[in-house]
Amino acid sequence: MNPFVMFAFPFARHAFLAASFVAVAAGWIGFYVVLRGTAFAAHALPKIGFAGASGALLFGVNSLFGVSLYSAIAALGIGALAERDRRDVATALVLALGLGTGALFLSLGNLYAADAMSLLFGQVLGVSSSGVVETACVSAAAIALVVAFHRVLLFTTVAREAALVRGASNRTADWALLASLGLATSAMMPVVGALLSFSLLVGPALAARHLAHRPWQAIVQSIALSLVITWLSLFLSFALGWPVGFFVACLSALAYAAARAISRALGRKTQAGAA
Amino acid sequence: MTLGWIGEALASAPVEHALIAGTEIAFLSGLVGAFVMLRGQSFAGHVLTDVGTTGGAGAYLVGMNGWFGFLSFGVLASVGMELAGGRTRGERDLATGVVLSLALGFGALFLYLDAQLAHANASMAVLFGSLFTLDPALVPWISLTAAACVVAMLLIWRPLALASVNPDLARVRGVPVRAISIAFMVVLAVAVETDALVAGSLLATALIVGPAATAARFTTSPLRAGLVGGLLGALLVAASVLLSYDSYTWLPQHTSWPVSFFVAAFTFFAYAIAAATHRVAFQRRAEVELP
Repeated sequence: MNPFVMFAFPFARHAFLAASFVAVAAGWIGFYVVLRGTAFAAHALPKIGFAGASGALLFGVNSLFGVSLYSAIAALGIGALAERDRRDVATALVLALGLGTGALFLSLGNLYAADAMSLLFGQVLGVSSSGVVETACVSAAAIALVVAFHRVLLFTTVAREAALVRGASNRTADWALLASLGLATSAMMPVVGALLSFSLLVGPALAARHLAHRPWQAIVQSIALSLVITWLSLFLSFALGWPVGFFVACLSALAYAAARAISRALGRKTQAGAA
Repeated sequence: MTLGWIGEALASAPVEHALIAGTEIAFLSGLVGAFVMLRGQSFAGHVLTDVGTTGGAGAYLVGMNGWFGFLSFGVLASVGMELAGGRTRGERDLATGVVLSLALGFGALFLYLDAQLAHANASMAVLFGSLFTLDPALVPWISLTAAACVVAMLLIWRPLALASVNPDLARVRGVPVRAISIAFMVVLAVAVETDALVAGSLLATALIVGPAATAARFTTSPLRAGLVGGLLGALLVAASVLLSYDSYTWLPQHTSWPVSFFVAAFTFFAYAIAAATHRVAFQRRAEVELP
C-alpha cells in the first residue's frame, strides 16, 4: 500500500504536522535529558501527565490544561523533594502519588478502558486543527526554555565545580529542564501517548550522543533522527493499524543500537590509525 | 464516629484475602526496598513494573497464566539491566531507559492486540489490578513466594550489604559481587512482579520505594531500615485496604476508591514528613563541615 495515500485525509495531515512539532521538541530536549542522565524524570512526567488527563476527563475541562497543570505540579514536587544527588526517590514517589490520583479519577469517573488506552498509547489520528496549533505553541515554549538555559545546562553538567564557582546554579538548571519536560509532555500526550513520549525523548538523543562530538551537532542529529523515526512510525501505523508507540519504541531502540555499532566501528578505525 | 465498620470489613472474605496478601507483599517490598535505596535503584525497580506489565499482557495474548508472564519478563529484564549497567548512575539509568522503551513499545502492541481479541478488561486488570478481585486460590502461593523471597534476602544479606556499600572491599574479602548483585536483582524482580500482579503496577513502585526511603531517613543500618520499612509498608497497606472498603459510602455515586490511591498517598506523605524533618538535621551538619 502506498503510504502517501494518507495525505488525502485532513486528519492524517493534522496528525503529521502535530507529530512533526512534537518530534522536534522531543529531539531537542532529549539532548539535555541524555546529557544530564535524567531518564527517570523524563519517564515519570508523561506518566503523571496521564493522570492529569484523566482528571481533566472527570471534571470536564480541556485535557491539555489538565496535563500541563499536573506535570507542572509534579515537576515542582520532584524539584522540591530531591536531595543533592538522590532525585530518583523523589521522582518515584511523586510518580506513584500522581498515578494513584489518576487511578482514583479513572474509577470515580467510571471511564471506559478505551479512553485510558488512547491517553496511554496515543491517538495520533485524532488530532484536530486547533490541536495542531496548541501542540505547536506548547512545543515552541518547551524548546525556548531549554535554549534560554542552554549555557547553564551544559556548564553545570560538564564542569560542575567550575560552574558553582562562577555562580551558575545546578538547581536552576534542574528546574529549567524539569519545567521544559513538563511542557513537552503536554504537547506529546495527545499525539504519541504518555508511555511512548519517553522513547522519543531518550532514543534519538542517545543515538546522537554516540555519533556527534559537539553539542549543537548532537542536537541537530537528535532532531533529525527523531523526525525520521516519527514519520516512519506514522506511515507504518497508518499502513498496518498497529499503535504508533510500538513503532516509535522499536525504531528508537534500533537507531540507538545502530549508532553504537557505528561509533564502535569508527572508534576502532581511529585507534588503529593512531597506532 | 463508630468503628463498627472495621469488624464488618474483617468479616468479608475478599477483604481478608486482600489484607493477608497485601501485608505480606508490603513487608517483603520494604525489606527489599532497603537495598534498592542503598544501591540507588529506584528507577530499575519502577522499570520492572512496566516490563512486567508487558509480560502480563503478552501472557493474556497467548492464553497463559498472567503471573508467569509477569515473572518471566521481570526476571529476564532484571538480569539484562544488571549485565548492561554503566559506570555512573546517569549512564545506568539511560541503559535501563532503552530496555524500558522497548518493553513499553511491545506492551502497547500486546495490549492493542489483546483489545482486538476482545480482552479489553484484561488490559485494565494488568495496568491497575485490584487487591479486592484477587483470586483466593492464589493467596497461598503469594504467601509461599513472599516467604521464599524473605529467606533468600536473609541468606545473602551480609555479602549483599558489603557489596552494595563498597564493592572493591567486598571483592578483596572474596565476595562474588556480580553473582550477589544478580541474585538481588532476581529477588527484586520476583517481589516487584508479585506486587504488580496482586495490586497493579502502580502499587509496586510505591511499596518498593516509599516505606524503605522513609525508614532510611531515621537509621543507617540496612537491616533496621528493611524491618522498619517492611512493617511500615504492611501497616499502610492494611489501613488502605480498610479505608478503600469504607470509601464505598463516601460519595453519592457509591464507587469505592482504589486501594492504590490510598497507598500512594500514605507513602508519599510519610516520606515527605520524614524528608522535611531530616533535611533540617542534614543542613545543620553541612554548615559545620563546609568551609
